[in-house]
Amino acid sequence: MKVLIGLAALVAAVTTAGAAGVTISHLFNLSDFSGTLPYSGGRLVADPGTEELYVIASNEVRVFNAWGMEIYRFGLEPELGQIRDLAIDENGDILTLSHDLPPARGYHIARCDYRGRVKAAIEPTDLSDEFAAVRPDRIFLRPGGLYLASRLDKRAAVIDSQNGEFRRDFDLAELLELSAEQRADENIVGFDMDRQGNMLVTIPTMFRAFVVSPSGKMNSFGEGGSTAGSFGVVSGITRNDDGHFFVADRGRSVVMVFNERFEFVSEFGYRGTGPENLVRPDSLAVTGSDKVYVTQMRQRGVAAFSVSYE
Amino acid sequence: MRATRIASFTLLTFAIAMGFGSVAFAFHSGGVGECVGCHNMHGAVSTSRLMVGTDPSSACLTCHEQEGLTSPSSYHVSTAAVDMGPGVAPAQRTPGGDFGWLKKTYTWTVPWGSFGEAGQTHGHNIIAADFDYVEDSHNSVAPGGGTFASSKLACTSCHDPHGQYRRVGTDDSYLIQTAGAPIIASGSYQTSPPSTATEAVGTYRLLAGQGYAYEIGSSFTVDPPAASAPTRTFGPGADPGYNQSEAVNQVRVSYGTGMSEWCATCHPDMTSGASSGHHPVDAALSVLGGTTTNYVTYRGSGDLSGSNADAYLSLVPFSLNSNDYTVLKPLAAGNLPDYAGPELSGGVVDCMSCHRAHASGFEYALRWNPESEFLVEAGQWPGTGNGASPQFARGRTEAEMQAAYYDRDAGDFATYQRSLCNKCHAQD
Repeated sequence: MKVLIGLAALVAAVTTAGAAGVTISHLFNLSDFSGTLPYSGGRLVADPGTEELYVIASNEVRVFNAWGMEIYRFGLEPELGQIRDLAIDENGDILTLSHDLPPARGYHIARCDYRGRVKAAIEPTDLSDEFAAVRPDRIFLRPGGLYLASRLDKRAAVIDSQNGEFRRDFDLAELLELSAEQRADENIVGFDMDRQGNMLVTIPTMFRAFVVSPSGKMNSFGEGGSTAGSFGVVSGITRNDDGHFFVADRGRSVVMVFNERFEFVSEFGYRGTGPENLVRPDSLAVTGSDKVYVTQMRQRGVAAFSVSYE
Repeated sequence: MRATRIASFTLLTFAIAMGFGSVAFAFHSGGVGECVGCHNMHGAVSTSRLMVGTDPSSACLTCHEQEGLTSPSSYHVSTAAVDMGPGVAPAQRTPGGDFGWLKKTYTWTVPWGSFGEAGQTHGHNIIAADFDYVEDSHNSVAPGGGTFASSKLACTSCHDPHGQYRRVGTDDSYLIQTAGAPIIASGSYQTSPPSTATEAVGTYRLLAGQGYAYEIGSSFTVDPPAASAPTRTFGPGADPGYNQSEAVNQVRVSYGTGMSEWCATCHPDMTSGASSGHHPVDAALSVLGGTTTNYVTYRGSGDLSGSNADAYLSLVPFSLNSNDYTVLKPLAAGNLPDYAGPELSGGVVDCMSCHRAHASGFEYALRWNPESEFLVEAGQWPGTGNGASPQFARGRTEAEMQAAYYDRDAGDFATYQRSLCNKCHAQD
């Protein structure tokens, strides 16, 4: 079968630029039994417990196993609108975040079973005035609760994952030290949370990536340019279990690797037609320390890479 | 592919000198942005010019399309395909329109047959391979007497990516030049600084002007049109800017002059006038048989009770016949539901009165549905699933139809609202 052949294909050692000691190899592209799925973009969410990957695209969720094969798909009831993001809890429940269709600006959080069937709605309550006006587009389950974040409004909040009770909120623009004009015009593109609850942000027009700790301490890194490790048009960001940051660059078509001291380590991808190449990488997800998933355009699908350190 | 290590301190210095990261409207700012934003010096695999995208439009959409946006967001002009599932309309509401409509193809069945409306009929089919935008398969050259090949259409066919065209001189007396003074800011907005003889501002939307070769062997012979758009402001009376839902407020772009003759560069037959069988353009409403009165009084089918104070309708905008930015800038706004009509300022019909520049939810990038008797049926936007006549819904859901009208409430019009040609012609 095409898929088995694909999985058995030689792993290409990916040409990288950067420090020695890191090997990044293309593993596979997400597939079903008809072959590689021709995704152009999509939102990736990894379940580190099972090493499964969820891909949200065109209002549908597909689930892939650790070897990149589709194992399930589901959509939401129409009245819940358009699914934007999801999180998985330790029991395997899927918490979905969906938006009403315009011009309505409502959103819904639903607790679903592992098949995506809605079990209960989670209604946020007692929200702060600032966050009550926000429509989040990101959801994370982390120590401390259920995090909701709006990249557009640059705000985040924590609620109880069972009863939706508000706990606290964050003014991301303030934490990122943005001026009033920057709050309006500098868009957050990449937004993720690592396992420790640090918020990871990229703002491509500032050529910067930011890391905000749960206590609100902010660090930033990155500089514009076209050389290895420089930021072109950065987008997705994530962090693996050993602390390395991965930053996708849509402009340079690479994924950059930085260590926990924000030092550039390596990068991989580059525009091209080979399986190890990337065309406009965007969303990222990691499982464990050693596997990175990357979305890209031109219907090239979602690529998985292994990362190993010497 | 291996990136070569090069000391980056010179690039860093340049970047800091450019001051990015601390200025609103980062990147273009009326002129050419950071080179590395669009060009990759050492790792490009584009077909030409070391672009970061496979083609010029892909380079543009690297920033001007962002996945995950489900509501209007500033400079974004295209909704990602993954954000447009069945029944989900493109999200951006720029005056020029969302290119995502090019990917929305509809089919419907009525008692007398089945019909379809190809997405490519919804606007300018820019070719952006990285974003699955493809060549127009129906028009091999620009319709309306043009010779420009559809295989060449890109953002850069109309917009100068280097933003060389600038206004030099004062806001009310200037020349369009490609040199003569440095560009200090964008000239597209009501908040743009005034141009002077020694400090220029960019042309509206970086539109190209005389001498710009939109393809090998063909150049523009006219200056870019004069216009001013609202942009986001802060404080009391804040303006959300040009890219916003019009569920509450309308967006008024002050179209000035020169739009039709500029469009005629590629669509020359469209300006030949009624005597040649074409709708007049660049023609004053006041001399078109009572059109001004119709525009002022028309509020909907059968309703001619309006007055000039709130006559403006962004679905049928008129131009102001002025290239004076001291006139245009104050009239650009996006923070009110109503604006004055053409009675005092004068009004001119031009291409933008009926068409959107990029794409729309309707054929030919028109601002309203040109193919159905009724735009509103029984007080609601016709859609699949709400009992509407399929020939009015044309395969769209009610939400998609409303989105195509920039989220207006159907109640803003008559319960059985006919074509918006009647805004000027009042034949209903």
